[in-house]
Amino acid sequence: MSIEVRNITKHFGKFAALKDVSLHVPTGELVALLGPSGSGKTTLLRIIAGLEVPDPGSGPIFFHDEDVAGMRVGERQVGFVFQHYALFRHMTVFSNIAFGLRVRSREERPSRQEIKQKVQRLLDLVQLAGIANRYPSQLSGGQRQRVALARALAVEPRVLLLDEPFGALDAKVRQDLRRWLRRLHDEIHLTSVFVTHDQDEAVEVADRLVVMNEGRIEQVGAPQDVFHHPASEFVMHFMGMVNIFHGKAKSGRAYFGSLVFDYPEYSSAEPKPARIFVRPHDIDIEISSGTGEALVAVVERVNSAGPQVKLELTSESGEPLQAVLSHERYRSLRVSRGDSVYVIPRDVRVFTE
Amino acid sequence: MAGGLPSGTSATREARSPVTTEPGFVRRLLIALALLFLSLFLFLPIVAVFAQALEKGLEVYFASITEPTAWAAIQLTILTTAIVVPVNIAFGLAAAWAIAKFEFKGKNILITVIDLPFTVSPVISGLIFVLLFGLHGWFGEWLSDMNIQIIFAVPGIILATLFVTLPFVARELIPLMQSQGTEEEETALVLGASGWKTFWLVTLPNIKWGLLYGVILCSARAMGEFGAVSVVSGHIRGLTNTMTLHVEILYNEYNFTAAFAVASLLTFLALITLAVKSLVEWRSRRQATLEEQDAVEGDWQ
Repeated sequence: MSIEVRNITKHFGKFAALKDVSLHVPTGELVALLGPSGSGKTTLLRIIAGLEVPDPGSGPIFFHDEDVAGMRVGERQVGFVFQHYALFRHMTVFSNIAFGLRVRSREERPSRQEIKQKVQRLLDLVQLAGIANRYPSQLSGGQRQRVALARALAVEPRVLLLDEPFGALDAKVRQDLRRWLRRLHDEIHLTSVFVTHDQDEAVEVADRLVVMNEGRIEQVGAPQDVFHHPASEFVMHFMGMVNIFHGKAKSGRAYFGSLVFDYPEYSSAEPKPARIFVRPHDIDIEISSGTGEALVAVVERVNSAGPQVKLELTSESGEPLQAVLSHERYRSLRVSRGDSVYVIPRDVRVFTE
Repeated sequence: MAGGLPSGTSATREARSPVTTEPGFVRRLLIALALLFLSLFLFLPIVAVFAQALEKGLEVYFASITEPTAWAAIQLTILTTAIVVPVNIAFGLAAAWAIAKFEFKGKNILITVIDLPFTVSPVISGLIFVLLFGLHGWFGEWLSDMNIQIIFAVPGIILATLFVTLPFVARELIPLMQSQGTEEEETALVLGASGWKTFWLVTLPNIKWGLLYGVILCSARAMGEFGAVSVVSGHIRGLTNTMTLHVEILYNEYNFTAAFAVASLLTFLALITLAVKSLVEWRSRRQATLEEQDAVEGDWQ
């Protein structure tokens, strides 16, 4: 079941949470709404679910080819999972999962036996068989989140919506659970949208990223496209550590100090301020200047406790820089604190105003 | 009571440290002082009430209670409580629901207004109703044309009691419901439950102990209210006398044994209320503690 929203606007008082947002989620995909807090991602998710009403004049919300914008939340047949699980605290795990089936009208309600079998199947699916009679307070965070997921799936929703599903878990559990969610999605192929502010999580789990900022969608694309070809400065910033050089653009080139980069997007001969972005792992460090152009910088700090070696440097013009090297490269360079080195950006992105 | 039930378990874990503990004789002195004070001002009066009531034997005691005007007063008190408590439950639930689950203008004003009966003297609360519904009051003429009597009649007593007890249930539920948030209700709605089912299956079970606590406090006050009721009652024996008013009349007539017999009934009701209140408090605190412990253990699994 595909999801499509068109021209959605939402204000809370004077604050514009969403500004004319349109989005298409293809059938069977797992899509991440990624952005900082206040970017409107949760609001968009809640509008799809029917928990918030968009401003009048907003466009339709399609599930496949049915406009659900006028439907109440209970009629939309969505599964929704909250960050803090929102399990019914006075009900057992079994009753929690069975809730959506038991509240149906008499004609639509499955028999007692059918409900029991279904809950059992869901407990197996989320790997929690055997704890059906526990109360939510007796479960760990990861278990609670899986119960919440089973409860959402029990009503056979048309789409699954998850609001920061791993946000309240500690790092190790979060890792396991997001890999598990990815496998689960590959099994059941339910069109799913999840909200997160963690780009690593989005990249690892999602088929497609929707990067949001200040109520607008900045970029939609596969994780590798968004990472390697960010559409805006914001996306470049948001997708990980980045070094910024404040230089100039002129005649299809960008300049910073003695460095020159191709920048065909700006062909005018009139100089214009440009920001040149380089990821720490796209920087080469050399002891001697070699043939190409390079910046001179001083090593301020070396952190080799990790899979890669992180260098903090300060350029001649006083700007802080970060570089990431392999341990192998670091050993062959033999740099240490206080050394002067040559910094050569390999791959840059240039943005002008 | 405005802060809701005490939920902390920290007090039970407190260890006695020699650094922060007074010498033995100081401790014993303080405990003795506290006990002396309690006996003088709490135990002694209660004992006195029962002693005085039973002074002339059980026969007189029961005669004083079953005497027609006393019996009428008991019935009126029960009737008033039976009307006031359900109305306050409905109002308290509605107000707490609105305040805890929705954002609207004037919310803070509503919270303040709910507290008003706590801050206004009961006598003035009674006078408000005389001013409104008395013969020379705003609606007095219209009411007398319609042949409806509110002041110096049962409706006035119920209205005055209602006003005085208004905050009890709402005040108990507001902080509780605010701390619980709206996510469970939203989940129920997403899963297809109607608003009505959501209330019965999700909201109500989550607040039942707080609600019960509020009901107990509300009943105690409804039975014991004197000031506001005294103003609007008119003191017609057998008709508009509640138990508290009946006690006052008997006392003023120097009929001490009968006065204390009825008073002992009220005291007895108060003691029962206190016991139920402690039970509810203990039960809900135990629940909270168990949940906390389970949550801690759960994280280790």
